[in-house]
Amino acid sequence: MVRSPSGRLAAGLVVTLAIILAYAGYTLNSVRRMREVQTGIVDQNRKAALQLIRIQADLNALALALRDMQDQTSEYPLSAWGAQLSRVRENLDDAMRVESALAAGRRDPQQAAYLENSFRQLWAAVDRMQSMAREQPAAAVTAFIRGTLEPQLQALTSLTARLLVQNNAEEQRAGEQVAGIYNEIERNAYAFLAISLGLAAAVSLAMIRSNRVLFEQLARLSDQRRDLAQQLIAAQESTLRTVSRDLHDEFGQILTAVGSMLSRAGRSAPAAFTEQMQETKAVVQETLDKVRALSQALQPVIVEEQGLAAAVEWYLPVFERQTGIAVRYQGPAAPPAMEAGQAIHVFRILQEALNNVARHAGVSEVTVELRDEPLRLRVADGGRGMAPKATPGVGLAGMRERAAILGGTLRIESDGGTTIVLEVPRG
Amino acid sequence: MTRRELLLALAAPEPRLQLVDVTRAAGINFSHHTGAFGARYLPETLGPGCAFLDYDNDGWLDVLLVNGQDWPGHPRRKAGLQLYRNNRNGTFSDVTRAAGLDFSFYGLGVAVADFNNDGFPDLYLTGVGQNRLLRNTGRGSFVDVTAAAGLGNRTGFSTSAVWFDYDRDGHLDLFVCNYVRWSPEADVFCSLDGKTKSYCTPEAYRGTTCWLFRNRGNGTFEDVTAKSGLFDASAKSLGVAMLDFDQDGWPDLFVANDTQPNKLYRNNRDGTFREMAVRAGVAFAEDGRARAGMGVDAGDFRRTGREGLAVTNFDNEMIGLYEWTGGGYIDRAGETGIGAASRKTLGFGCLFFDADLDGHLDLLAVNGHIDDSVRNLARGPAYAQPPHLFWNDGQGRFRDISGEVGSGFRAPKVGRGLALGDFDRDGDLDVLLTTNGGPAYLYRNDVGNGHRSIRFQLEGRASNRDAIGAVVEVEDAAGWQMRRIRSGSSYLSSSMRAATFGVGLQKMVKRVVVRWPNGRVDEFRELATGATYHCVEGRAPRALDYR
Repeated sequence: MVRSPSGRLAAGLVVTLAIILAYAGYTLNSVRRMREVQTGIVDQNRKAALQLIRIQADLNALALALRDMQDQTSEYPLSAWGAQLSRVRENLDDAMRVESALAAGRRDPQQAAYLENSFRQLWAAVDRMQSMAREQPAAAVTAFIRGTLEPQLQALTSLTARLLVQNNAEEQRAGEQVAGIYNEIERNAYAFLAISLGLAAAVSLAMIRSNRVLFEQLARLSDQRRDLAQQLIAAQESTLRTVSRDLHDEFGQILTAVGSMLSRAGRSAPAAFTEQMQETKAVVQETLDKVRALSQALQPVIVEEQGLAAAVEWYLPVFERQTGIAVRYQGPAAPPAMEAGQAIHVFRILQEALNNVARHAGVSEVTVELRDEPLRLRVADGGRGMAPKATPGVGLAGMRERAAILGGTLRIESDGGTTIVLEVPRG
Repeated sequence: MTRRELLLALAAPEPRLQLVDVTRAAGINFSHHTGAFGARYLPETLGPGCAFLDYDNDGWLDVLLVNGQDWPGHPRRKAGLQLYRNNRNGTFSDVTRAAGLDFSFYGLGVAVADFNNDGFPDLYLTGVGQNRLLRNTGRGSFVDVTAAAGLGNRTGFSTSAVWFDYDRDGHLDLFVCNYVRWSPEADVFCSLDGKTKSYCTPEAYRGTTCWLFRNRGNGTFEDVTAKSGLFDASAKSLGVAMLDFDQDGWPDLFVANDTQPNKLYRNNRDGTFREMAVRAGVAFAEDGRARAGMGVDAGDFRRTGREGLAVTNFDNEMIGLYEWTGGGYIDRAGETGIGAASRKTLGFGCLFFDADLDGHLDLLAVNGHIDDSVRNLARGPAYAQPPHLFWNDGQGRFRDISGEVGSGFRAPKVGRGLALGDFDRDGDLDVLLTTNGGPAYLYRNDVGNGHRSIRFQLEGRASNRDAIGAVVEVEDAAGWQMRRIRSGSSYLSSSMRAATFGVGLQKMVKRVVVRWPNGRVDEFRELATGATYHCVEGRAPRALDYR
C-alpha cells in the first residue's frame, strides 16, 4: 500500500506560500522604510537645500544692492533702494520660513536660534540704514553699510554655506542609509532565492519519488489485471472447448446412434408406425444438426482443424444467414499459418466485431478483410459509428485483451462508421 | 449667424491667410545699422524697434523704423531712424527729414502715444545714451521736448517703453525699461572660443532700474521710480506690457527681464506698485530658473475675459504662455504646442492678434540669435531664424502656420521688432517687422476666407485722449472677446492703437462694452461688422468704412 503524497505536497505548498508571504511582507516593509528615509530625509534635505540656495541668492542680491548703494553712481537717492530691499527681505523671510519648517527637529536649537538672531540683527541694521538714508548724508550711510551691514551679511552668507554643507552631509548619510537598505534587501533576496530553490527542489524530488512509486504500482496492477483477464479468457476458451466437444462427441454420437436405431426399427416396424418413425427420425436428425451447430458455435473445431482462413470463410455465411447483413470479404492470398491457440483469438475478435455491427451499426453490409504478414484483420461498417463519449463495453475490453494475448494492437476508428483493425506482427 | 454662415464656418476650420511681402512695392527701403566695427558692443545685438502710427492724423497708418548709428570714433555709414508716410495707395514716402527726425541717435525702441492729449501721436525713442521725447506739432513734424519735459540729463541703455495712465488722472505716464549698466568704456571681453570676442550675455553686466515718469499734465514729467516702488537696480529689462491682471480697473505692468526674474507690478491705486511675479508664477520658468525674457504681450487668448501673457525667451527656454487660473498664472506653453515649437528659437517681438479674423487670438513671434558667431558652432542654433505664427484653433491648441502663409514669410531672419497695423485699411492687421543689421519687412495680410472684423478707435475725454488702458468687449454669436487699448508690448515697438476683433462670417455683433480708463462704461448694441467705429468717451459710436 503506497501512502498518498497529497498531504506532503499540500504541506510543501503551505510552507512555500508562507515563505512568499513572509518575503512580500519583508519587501513591503523595506520599501516603507526606504520611503520614510526618502521622504523624511532625502526629499526634505533637497527642499531645504533649494531654500538655502534661494536664501544665498537673496543674500547675494542684497549684497549687490548694497554695493550699488555704495557706488553712488545712480541718479537716485539711497532711499530709493527701499522698495528693492523690501522685495529682497520679503523673499528672504519667505525662504527662511520654509527652510526653518523643513529643518525643524533636525537642526541644533542653538544654531537655529543663532540663525534667527543673525537675520533679526541684519534687518534691524537694514532698517537703520534706510532710516539713515532718509536723514543723513550718503557718506554716513555707506560707512554704515561697510562697517556694519556688510560684515553681518558676510557672516550670514558663511552661515548659509555651512548649513548647505551640513545639509549635504545629512543627505549623504541618508544616501548611505538608503544604500544599506538596498544591500540588505539584496542579501535577503538571495537568501529567499536559495530557500525557495531548496524547497522547490525538495518538493520536486518528493513528487518524482511519489510518482515513480505510483507508476510502479499502476504497472503492477495493470500486469495483474492483464494476467487475470488472459486467464479468464483461457478458462472461457477451455470451458467452451470442453462443452463443444462434449456436445459434438457425446450428444452427437448418442443422437447418431438414436438415428441409426430408429432407421433399423423403421425397417422392421409395422406399417402403421412407419410414418411416426420417420417423423421421430427427422426430429432426431434436426436435434443432431442443432447440437453440431451449437458445438461449432461454441468452439469452432474448424479453427483447429482447418485454420483461421477456413474458419472465417465458414463463419461469414453463417453470420449473413443469422443477421441478414451482407458481408464483403477479402481473404488472404494464402491461408495464414497460425497456431490454433492464437487463431481462436482472431476468430473471437472477428465474431465480436461482427456482433457489434449487427447490434449497433444499423447497416445492411459490412466489409471484412484478412491479410497476412503481418496479420491484419479489418472489419468496417458504414453505420452510425460510436458515440464520442461512449463507455467501452465488455466486448471491446475482451477484444483488446485478446489482441494483447496475441502481442498485437487493436485500433478502433469511428468516423462515418466504425472500423476495427487488429494487427499482429509475425515472426 | 445664418445657417449659411454657420456651415461656411464649419466647412473652413483651417486658417486661410497670406502674408505678402510688399516691402519693396511699398517703397520701404530700410537697413538697420548696428554701428558694429568689430568691438562687438552689446547694444549692437538688440535693435531695432518699429511702429505703426498715424502721425499726420489722415486715417492711414504710417511707418516708423528706429535705427542705430556709428559708434563714436568709428564712422561706417550714415544711418538714422526713418519715417514713412502712407500714400494711401499701398506705397509710402520717406518723410524723415520733413518730419524733423533726421537727427543723430543710437536708437533701439519707440513708444507712441499722445502724451499731451492734443490729438496727435508723440514719440518716445529709447536707445543708448539720452532717450528722446518728440512732440508732434500737428503739422507733420516733431520737435524734441526731452529737456523741456524734464526727461533730459539722463543717460541709460533703454529698451522697450510703454505709455499708460497709472494714476488715472487722464494724462499718460511713461514707463521705460533699462537693460544693463553698459558703456563702451565698461565693455567686458566675452568669447565663445576663448580667443575672439563675442557678444556678452547680460550676466556680464550689472542691472539697472527701469524708470517711471508721471505726466504732470503740463508737458513735464516727474520721476516717480523710487516713490512708486518700482526702483530695482537688479533689473535687466527688455520688454514691457500693460495689463490689468487683477481686474480692478487700474493698469498693472509685466516686465520681461533677461536672465533675471520677470516682474509683475500690481497697481496699488495710490501711486505705488507691489511686485507679485513670484506669487503669481511668472517670475521664473517651471524649473525655478530665471529665463532670458525678451518680448512680451498680454491678450485674452482663451476668451475667458482675463488677459494671459506671452513671453519670448532664449533658445532652449521656449516661449512662456501664461494663462490666469484664479490664484495665479500657469505656463500652458507645453500643452498648447507652443513650447515644443519654440524650443529652438530665440524670440524677440511677439504679439497676440487675430490673424485670420476667426475670433481667436493667434500669436506672432519673430526670432533671431543675438550673436552671429553661433554660425561657427557645430550643431549650434542658427543666427537667422524663421518667425512663428501660432494659429489658435479655439480648442486650446496652437499650430505654427508660418510656412503656410506665403513663401517668404518663413524665411529665416534675425528678427527683433514687431508691430501690427492695418496700413491698407482692409480690416485685417498687417505685419511690420525689423531685423538686426538687416532690412525691415512689411507684410500685407490677405485674409482669404471671407472673415470679417470690427474695429474700435477710442477717444478719451475725461480719460487720456488715446484711451490707453481702456477695454473693449464684444459679444458675438460665439461669446465675448476683449481687447485692451495699449501702447508698448512686443519688443521695442508700437502697434496700431485701435482694437480689432475678428468675428468670422458674422455681419453683426450683439453688444459692445467699452470700459474707459477712468472707470466709465459705455455700452452699444447691434453693430454691423466690416467697419471701424470711432468711439468718443460718453458718446454714441460713429461708423467709418475701412476705406
